[in-house]
Amino acid sequence: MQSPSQLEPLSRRQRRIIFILSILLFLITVPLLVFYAIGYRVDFSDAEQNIRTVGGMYVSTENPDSEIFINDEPVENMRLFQNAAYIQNVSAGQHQVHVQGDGLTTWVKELPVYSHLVTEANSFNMPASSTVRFVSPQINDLGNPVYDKVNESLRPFVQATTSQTIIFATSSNPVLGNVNPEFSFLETIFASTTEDRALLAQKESFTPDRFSFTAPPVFGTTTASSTRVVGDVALAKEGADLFVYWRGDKSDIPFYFCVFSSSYETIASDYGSHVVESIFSTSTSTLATTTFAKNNQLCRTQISIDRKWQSVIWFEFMPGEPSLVLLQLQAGIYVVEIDDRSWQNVQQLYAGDNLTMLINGQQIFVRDGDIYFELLTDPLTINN
Amino acid sequence: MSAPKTNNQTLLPYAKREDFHVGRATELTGRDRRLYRFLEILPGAASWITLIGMLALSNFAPFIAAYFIIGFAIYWVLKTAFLSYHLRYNWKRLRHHLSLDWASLIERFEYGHIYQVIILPFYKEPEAVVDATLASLDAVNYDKKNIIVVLASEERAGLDAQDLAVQMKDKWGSEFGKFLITTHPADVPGEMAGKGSNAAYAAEEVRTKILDPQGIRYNHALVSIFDIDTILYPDYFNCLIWYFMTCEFPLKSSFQPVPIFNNNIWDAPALARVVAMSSTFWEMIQQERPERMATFSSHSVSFQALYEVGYWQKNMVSEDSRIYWNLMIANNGDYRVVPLSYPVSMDANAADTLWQTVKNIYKQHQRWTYGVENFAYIVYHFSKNKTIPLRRRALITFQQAEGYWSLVTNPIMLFILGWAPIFLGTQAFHQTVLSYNLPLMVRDLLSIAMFGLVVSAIISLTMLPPRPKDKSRFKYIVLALQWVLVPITMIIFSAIPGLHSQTRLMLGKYMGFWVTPKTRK
Repeated sequence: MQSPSQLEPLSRRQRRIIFILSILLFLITVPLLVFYAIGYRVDFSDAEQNIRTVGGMYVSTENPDSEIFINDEPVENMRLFQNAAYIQNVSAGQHQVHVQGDGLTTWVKELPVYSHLVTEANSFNMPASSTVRFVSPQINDLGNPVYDKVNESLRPFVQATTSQTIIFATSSNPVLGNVNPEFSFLETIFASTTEDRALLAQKESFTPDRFSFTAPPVFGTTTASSTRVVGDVALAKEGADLFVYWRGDKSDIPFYFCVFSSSYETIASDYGSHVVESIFSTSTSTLATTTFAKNNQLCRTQISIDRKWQSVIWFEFMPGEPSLVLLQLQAGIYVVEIDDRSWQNVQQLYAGDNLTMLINGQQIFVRDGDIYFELLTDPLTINN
Repeated sequence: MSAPKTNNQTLLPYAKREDFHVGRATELTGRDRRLYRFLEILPGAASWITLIGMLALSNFAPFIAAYFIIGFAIYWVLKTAFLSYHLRYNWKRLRHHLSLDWASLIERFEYGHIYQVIILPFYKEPEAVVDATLASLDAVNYDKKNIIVVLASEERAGLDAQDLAVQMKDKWGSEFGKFLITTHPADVPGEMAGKGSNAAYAAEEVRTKILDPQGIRYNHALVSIFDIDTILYPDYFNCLIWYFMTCEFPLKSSFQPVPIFNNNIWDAPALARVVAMSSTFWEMIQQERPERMATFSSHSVSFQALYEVGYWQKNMVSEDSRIYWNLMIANNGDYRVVPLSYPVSMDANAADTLWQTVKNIYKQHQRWTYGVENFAYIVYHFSKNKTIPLRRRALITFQQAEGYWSLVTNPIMLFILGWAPIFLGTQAFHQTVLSYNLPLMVRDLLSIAMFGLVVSAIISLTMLPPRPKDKSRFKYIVLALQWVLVPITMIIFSAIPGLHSQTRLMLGKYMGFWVTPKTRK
């Protein structure tokens, strides 16, 4: 009988062919993609070995505008998240990675990559020139800092950059400002003696309506020898040196305490002699008592912080960033990473030799002479 | 257990069994009850074991979980391509069928003796909905003297519903050969309030009040049961006649049109549109593989076939698909669904507010996915009716099990658990490139699978009713882009209500029938 439809339903045969083709495609594709995901690559350029293995790098960055380079080649379109990049197809061996951005200090590290494994790194880029927010005794109606009879050539004004409009009042150019409660409070907190603070407290009637400390501030000059603890990481000064200790569960230890290699020689060549010395005891075949094995890694629980051969005046964990240490050395204020693989990046925040610091929550306040300011490190804060 | 009202002597031999119309395990006793209960538990247990197992595997054996997920994502891509091919093919066939002059095609047949019995069960739907359906019925290209309309109301719907039925009869009654109003009594022992019991009551009323008195033979009456919001295309009955006259076993076949949920598509929110068109597309895909089909929603079947199994079941929710399994099992496997590839239009599930729409869609899909209750019924009777070929029983059991399992687990595994090894895996796993490549690879594979959505978007645009004057042309763009919502709708309106239904059945917390509210602007 003639069908009214020129289009017959899909025949069983047609469907079976498509089904079998799909199964074949599945059977071919699955092993190929699994091998790819594990880190195998086909390389026809090598006549002797067509199959090679690769590893990867995972680099986190604080600044979304910064660029990542591997062996001086820019890494493009590899960002997994806003502040991190996963770089695939990295061949096994030593690779230099650097992260840079306009107006930022460049972060550089040389790290080993192993087949099938991912090497992690946390980069950080502080402002290349000190960026601050001045906290003046007086402010005008717009909130801009007003300084009365203060020399414009003082170090903070010439050394640091700010987005604020600073007004310098003189006898020939008087400016009427309002009392800045934030300054009054900082002045109280920075005062080094109880008598000074009491005197200041009598002098100012402070209403903390637009500025207050969220927690007792960490005050710089009086606690330099004590231990700082954030989570399971402790920061302590022993003699002239500064050390970071892992106190938590072994399974939770941050990646930079651990290395993949297992022998003295390979660790020394991959990560540097200072790393191998923290993992092994004096004998090259004996692990230090502070070292333990985890999965296929060796982990130490103690890392020395690079103090640039200077005396440590003050130290603290970087607010909100427990993998970084904030140091006040003789020549100024620095940020140092705990990760000592290959070396520790040290970036200067502010140069100066007569400084006092305190931290309030996420804010870093500095007194340079009689000038108070907040050091800005967060790119979002700086841009705003 | 509810017994069919038909004379027991007229039932097919297998349909005379006491347990033929079993609705749930509690209606059985002894070993049968334990078997049925086990079968009720099985789908939910399989889904939960899969999902929990996936989490456990991600935690304790993340490498194996990762390999599985990659394989599963590839399977999903191929499945999407496979189904899209079927969808596209059926779309071409459906458009072709719409372009045919079916009236001239059936001229060669003698079909004047065939009566079309239209059963329209309704509850409290507004006049506009009922009126539009009857208007579309009045507009079909078919001799309306041979059309018997049964407006099947519910006593529990109250006097307003009865009044509406009378009003509709007054308006449309003269247009058709017969117009019968039936009122299904409330609270009949052994019955579940729902469409099945109402339709079965209406069918028996038609038999005793029209077919028998008029001497119409049961094999000369074709019953079409339509949801009350069903708008017919003009040639539906001509198309049905053609398939009825030409198919190999007309009295051993049910006839399934393509339900297009687009009556109110221009007024429905995006979520409702996507869900509605997805349901349509699924039925279109099934039309190209009829061996997997069961009847769904609106469908047609000979009165004789219905009579031989005691009509629709009155004690369960998914009567539209259950009637097919009743027929298939009672006919010892010698029964099938004939796909018409011809559409009927129905309402997308849309309420006055978005939140109410979401709730209604969820409830509707929970009811649809409660079709999993058929699994216990099918396998139970397959274990009893050995005259059905073993190969067919095995194939159907596998298809049904895989269908209910994948409905619930696949979207959740793909869009949620696919990332589980990354969050739950061991540190040794997190150090590997596999751990980092997994989300990228799954993302890429799902992006490829999204190509299937492009096909869906294009096809959906061609199936729209004419654009109302108050709707901007810009809405076409929205209607195309709305398909990005599919991953969400698959989880919220497919996987989760499916899991909900399976869990209820697994725990013996049986569901009742929920009537989808219908409105018309």
